[in-house]
Amino acid sequence: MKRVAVTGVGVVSPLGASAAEAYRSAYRGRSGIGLLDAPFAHRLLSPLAAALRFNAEDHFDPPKLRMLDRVSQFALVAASQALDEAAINLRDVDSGRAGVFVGTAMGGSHTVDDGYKTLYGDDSDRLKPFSVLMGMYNAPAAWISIEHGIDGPNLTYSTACSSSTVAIGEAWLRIASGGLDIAIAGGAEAPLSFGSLKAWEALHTLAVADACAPWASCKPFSKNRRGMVLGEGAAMLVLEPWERAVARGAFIHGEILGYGLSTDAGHITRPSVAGQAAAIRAALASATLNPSAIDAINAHGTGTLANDATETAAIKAVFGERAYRIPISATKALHGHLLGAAGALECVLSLLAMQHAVALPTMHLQTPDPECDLDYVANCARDGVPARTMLSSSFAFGGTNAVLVLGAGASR
Amino acid sequence: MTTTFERIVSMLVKDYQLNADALTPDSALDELGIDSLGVAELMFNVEDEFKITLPPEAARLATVGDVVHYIDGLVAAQHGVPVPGGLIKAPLSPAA
Repeated sequence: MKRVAVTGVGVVSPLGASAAEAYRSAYRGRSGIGLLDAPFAHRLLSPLAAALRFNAEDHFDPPKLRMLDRVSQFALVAASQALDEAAINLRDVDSGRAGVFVGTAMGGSHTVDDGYKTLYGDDSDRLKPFSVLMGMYNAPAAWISIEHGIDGPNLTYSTACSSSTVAIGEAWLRIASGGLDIAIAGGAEAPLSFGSLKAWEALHTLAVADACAPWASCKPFSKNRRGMVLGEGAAMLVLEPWERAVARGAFIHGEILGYGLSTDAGHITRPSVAGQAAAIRAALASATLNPSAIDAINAHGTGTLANDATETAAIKAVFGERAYRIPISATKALHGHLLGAAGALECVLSLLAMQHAVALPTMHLQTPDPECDLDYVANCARDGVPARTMLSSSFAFGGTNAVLVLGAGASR
Repeated sequence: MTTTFERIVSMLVKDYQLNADALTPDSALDELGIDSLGVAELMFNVEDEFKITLPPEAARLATVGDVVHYIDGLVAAQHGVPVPGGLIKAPLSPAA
């Protein structure tokens, strides 16, 4: 297996419109969550979201924009950032040797929502001609290939909240096995349509707004956590063989060391300690690392009652007593749950945290929960944490658990 | 009276931010960035603008002029009235 370097990162997120900006916001504990400013907000029980200020006209010509759902807009901007930073000339890559791997849980949700409004709300048959191609789940990945002329594998993964962790992991496998020379991998999500928000609301997993501080409504691992907050955005990484990156003098953000998958095979939403622990163990095994080699963790940490207690137990199951000494960050307190883009955003934040020798904070953790008693780096970033390895975990509805092992990047 | 051509031009300017001065009946849609897929969307909006219904089969429309003639034909057939202008501003019938 080849070593795999991350040579470019791109982010469009509630924490900022670049990876560096998102990292700074996360470091400072600046929340991207707030009350949603939308015409339908009054019909939501709790109009919370981590929404973007994103002006699509700044990025796309009008004829092209008419064909892009918001999710594809995010994906394209993040992918361009990542490729620009990697400074790769894709013409130097052999045909078929570059690929695109994108995760999304809800695809073109706004397009689908608009179509239903026309059909059922307006009682009209006037569905727009682009409805299919804007709503289809593989549109974000397809547009990246079209924009950059990437003619190798073009794959879309939809495993709910673990979609983009799966996408990065599957891309890692292709690069590590020698099947590809370049991969764009990550995720995109634009779930803040009325229909999507109402559907999530009906599931009773969304947080109730904190009356005093809406931006602090997502409280991972806190006793008074009330649920998750939906967020939108995209994060993309450029992966390539380590030797290739070194040979061309690329800046290396870090390394993907391993990737583990498991499936709960139990309940459609309820997480399982055994399933989460199995994914962590599988990731460690693929990296040929012992649990003792892991320095820090970016938790799935959604802020739901079920996940955070389960995840804490799973970390203890794998790491034993040492679990109490591993800094664990849950950045969803700030950027919300980007569903199919969450894992990629957290992977990028983790790589940047290692570069800065920082453990990012788990914000809004004011009330300790006896069931969640590990070191979550509560409320304030911790400097001087020289992590060389991190886990980035994503656990999904449907039961697909995915964990990446990340390396800080210097020679091993 | 506004001609069909002028109404198409104003749609292209508004929806595709094209330069009105550069648009002529001979302008190729493809060169304006409107490929066959784009034409499908343009014609969807044309249905609303001209209050016509497109037949199920797709028409082969290569230029702005093709679109104008196609619309004029549909308007005449579906509204049973002479086309108000078409490509030229003069009334079609001197007697009108």
